Amino acid sequence: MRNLTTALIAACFAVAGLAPSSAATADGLQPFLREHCFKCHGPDKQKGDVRLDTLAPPADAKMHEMWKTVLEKITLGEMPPEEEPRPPRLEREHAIAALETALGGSGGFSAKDKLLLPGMGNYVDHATLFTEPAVRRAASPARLWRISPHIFKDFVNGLAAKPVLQAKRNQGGNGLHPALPFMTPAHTFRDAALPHAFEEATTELLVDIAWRVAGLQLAAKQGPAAFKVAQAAAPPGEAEYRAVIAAQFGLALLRDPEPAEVKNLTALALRTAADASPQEALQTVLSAVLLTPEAVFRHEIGQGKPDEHGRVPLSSREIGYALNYALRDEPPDARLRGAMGADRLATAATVHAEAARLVNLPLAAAPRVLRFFQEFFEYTRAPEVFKDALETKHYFPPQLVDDADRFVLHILAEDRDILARLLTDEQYFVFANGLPNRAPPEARARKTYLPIFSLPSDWNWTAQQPVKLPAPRAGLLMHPAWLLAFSDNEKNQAIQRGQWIRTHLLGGTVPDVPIGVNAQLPTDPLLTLREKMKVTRAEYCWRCHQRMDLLGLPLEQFDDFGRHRTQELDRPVVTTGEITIGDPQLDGAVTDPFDYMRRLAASARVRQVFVRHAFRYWLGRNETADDAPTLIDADRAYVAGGGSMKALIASLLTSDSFRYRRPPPAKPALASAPP
Amino acid sequence: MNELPPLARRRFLKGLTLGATGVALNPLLQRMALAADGQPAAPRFLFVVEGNGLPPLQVHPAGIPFVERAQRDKVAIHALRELTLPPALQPVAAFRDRLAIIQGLSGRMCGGGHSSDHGALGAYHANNGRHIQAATIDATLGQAFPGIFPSVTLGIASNPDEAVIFNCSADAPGRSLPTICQPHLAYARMFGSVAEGGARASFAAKRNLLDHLRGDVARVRQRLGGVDREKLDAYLSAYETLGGQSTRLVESRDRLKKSAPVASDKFMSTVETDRLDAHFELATAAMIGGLTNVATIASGVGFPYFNVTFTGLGIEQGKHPIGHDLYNTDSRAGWERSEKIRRFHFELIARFMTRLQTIPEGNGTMLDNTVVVYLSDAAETHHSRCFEWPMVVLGNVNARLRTDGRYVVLPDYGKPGHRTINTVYNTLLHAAGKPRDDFGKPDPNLDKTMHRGPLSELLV
Repeated sequence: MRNLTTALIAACFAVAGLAPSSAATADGLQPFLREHCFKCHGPDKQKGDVRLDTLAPPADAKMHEMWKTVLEKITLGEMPPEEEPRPPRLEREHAIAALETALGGSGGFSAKDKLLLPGMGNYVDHATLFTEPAVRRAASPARLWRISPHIFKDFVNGLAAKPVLQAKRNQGGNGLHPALPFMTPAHTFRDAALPHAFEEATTELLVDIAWRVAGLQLAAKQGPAAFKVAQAAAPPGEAEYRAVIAAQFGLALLRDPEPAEVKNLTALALRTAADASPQEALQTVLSAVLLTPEAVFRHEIGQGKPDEHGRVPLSSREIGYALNYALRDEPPDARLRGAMGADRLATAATVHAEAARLVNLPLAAAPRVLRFFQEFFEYTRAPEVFKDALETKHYFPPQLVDDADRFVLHILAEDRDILARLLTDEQYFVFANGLPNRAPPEARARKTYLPIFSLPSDWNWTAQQPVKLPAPRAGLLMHPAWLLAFSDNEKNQAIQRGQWIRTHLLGGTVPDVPIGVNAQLPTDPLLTLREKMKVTRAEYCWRCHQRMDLLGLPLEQFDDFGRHRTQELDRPVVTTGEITIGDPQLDGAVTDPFDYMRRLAASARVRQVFVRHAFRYWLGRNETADDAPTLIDADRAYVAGGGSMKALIASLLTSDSFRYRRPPPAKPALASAPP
Repeated sequence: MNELPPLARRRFLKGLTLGATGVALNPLLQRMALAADGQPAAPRFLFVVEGNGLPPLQVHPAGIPFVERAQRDKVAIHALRELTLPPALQPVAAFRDRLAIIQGLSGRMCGGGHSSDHGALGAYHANNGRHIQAATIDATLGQAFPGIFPSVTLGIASNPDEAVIFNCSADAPGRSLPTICQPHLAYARMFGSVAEGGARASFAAKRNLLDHLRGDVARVRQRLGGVDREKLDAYLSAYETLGGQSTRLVESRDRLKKSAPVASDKFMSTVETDRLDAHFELATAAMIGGLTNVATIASGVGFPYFNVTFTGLGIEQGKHPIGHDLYNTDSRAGWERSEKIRRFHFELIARFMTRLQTIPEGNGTMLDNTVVVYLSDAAETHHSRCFEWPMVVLGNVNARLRTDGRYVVLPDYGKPGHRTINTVYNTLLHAAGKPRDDFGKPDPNLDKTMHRGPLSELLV
């Protein structure tokens, strides 16, 4: 205890800039440890074999690792555990600062950085995010956001004037180029700004596709005149190359090249013409423009003099791109390009007007809206789930996803009470695009697909959809696509369903499975899943499983193919559960999934958690305490709009978090750069 | 040639190589020259990681009883020359004097389940790729003995359309290395200079393009100050590496022609056996051509990639249901299918070894300086718990490994003498002359002696 306390006190003094004699600081820290840590990790008890009162300073690797763990647990709010009293905010921040300083002196570590990682957003205190701060100063960090593979697909196909990249669903392809893989973890929005970059292998693939596209551009019949003129010249001279460079800038970057850019690229063309051939010189300069950082990273730097909070607004060009790619994959349309080029997006009013126009585009023209719901609810994973039961072959999982998409789009089109309806609507689409038009697939669909929706195999298909189903079912979490996505080969994934509900609707957290834990359920076929899950009630397991299991079990109303059931293993199916998130409006026993969804749909907290997720998706990052005004405004806009998704998105796109950037701290200038 | 005094032999060989290829040394002669110079050639490593688990019984030789894990109390070593190799390993019977089969290693810290993905070669819990804690052993060895490519990971996945996935190797914390799943893409990457025949112009143009982009990215990096510096650094570094590789590939064009595989239909095939075959050819050629010293074949590694259906072997069932058959019902049909698939992998390993054995190097052949390590990313079974993790090691890195035809059975998890997979990776690093005793992460439930240092039963 003496070692730890001494080290912490020293660190604390360093943070506070106080002399070691300052008893006030030391007194402020010791009670924190005594009050919140030693009870379980002190002289009397060492839970998890962790004893903190005898912890030595972080001088060696083992101690450093232990200190990092302590800091991380406190920063993420995992310790003290939920059932223990929460430390006062200031006291907690004080301890975090002391620990960070101590670790900084021995290798550097910031647990706060972890909060920025995809999947860690819920560790930010919910109440803080919906409490009006004394000063509104929201901004995103100045950043480079790798373009998404969806944007790249449309970009490439547009330039090549042909579908170079295209989804081939029946072959498993999605048309997304491997040079731009998603690197985000499971259960998070895929196109986050932070984790995506190019490394050697993906850059090589990027060069290959750019080279190919440049070749197609030169071969296209309908291309810029400058390309034709240069190819007809024998050989092209500087003037022809300059015209080609200007044309490619206009096509790919929507701007004119700067003189230095023209000079460098012309030199590249002439050098390559000498080393290779004029045709390859043209292909080289076209490729060079496609690969310049501005073409593959969305620049969100900001411009102008920082305001009193150190923020700069995005330039007209930057915000034009940001608005466009918030909703669309295609490059900005003519109207937006005009506004970007004429610097007309420099004021809040013009940004509002353009945001309002874009959010009112037809949903087909704004594919990122549906994609938000697909990634949030994760039902598009249904076809990935492996099922080997013979009697359930050919159950059409891609069709289930299509029908779930239609369910979402139908609600979005009406744009009211979006979240509540997604959780409770009782009308569904079933083979909304029509049953298979050949006899054998239609017979299979009737035999396997319709029963999933509790429909008889001779159901008279109708184009008048959605339809009410014979057996009770409500909302997307009872849609077979969602249920299937959270099932495995043999059973429902009640634990994972509970985890999803906890993280995506309740805003809670679940730690990773601890190392060394054998996270497996019994396989006894005579036990129901609920009965098998009794093994998680062991004290060590239940600490985490109490956060998930009872949230997922009400959905046992449906089997692992999403079929409604009243019996399980010849016994009445049990659909009870419980919510314990610390919100009186939500907490309490759950009798069945229908009561459950109605309660979730009526909850202000669930709505706010939904808004937090929308923030992550449209801002491409996790929310921080500074973003509270953005979240408050977005939530208000959603409510004021009667549960309008358009109002929610528009609010986010016109927020300070969206429009302002905070430059990084100044760093020493580079020694030199190539001319 | 061996009768020449060392210095004369060295001069002779160096003269020969310069005369033979001009700027670039012929890799074969280069290897001989290095040996003559007293410098051993870099060791080579081929990791073959097959998804869906490796049941210990499938690498258990006939002739001795199989001892269940719980009954293993002390280290047991058996000579394989007196035993019959199991069916899956029969293809490498000719190399039994370079073989070690190791039973009883554990890797609980890797997590288990359908796959430990990067954790299999990293000896840590990668959490489905979300937490890549460090470089994996293949990348670590590749960084220690870099060729034009430090290491190469090639693989197949259940979806034949997958081109590049991130599932097996990593070269730094948080940085997964790509597994190239299309042999034709890997071929273009490594042997593109040969494939393009007379189109040297394209190479020259691309080299100019890479040079230009290096400067272009550096300029942007300078203009943007500290904004996302790491991303621009990575982009810049990629162009620097690619530029260097491009230059070296062009310089090596003539010698690569000699080692490049024939780009047959199997490089574009959607049949998994063809693609796996092509990947082994590429790995073999890359090592012979001096492109790399470390290759990994990731055969259906990670979830959901492992559900490969080996139609080329006449099997119409994916590996996922085969795994369930084995795991849940102990099905004979499932056993035979998984054995057949495993045997196919060892046929390709045997071909790789045979080919390297034909290439002289130093006083022996390339095979003398090469190790093959075979394991599954799913440890011992379909839903693995990693209490045991069988491994097969072939080759001895110039007699630095005790792969003298031995079958090693270690004590059960936690019992005195028990060891973890970390120790095999420590062993490889020791054998390669880059000793480390702490590769990967420890299992917190075991005594540190069980994961530290090399495996004495494997290291000479």
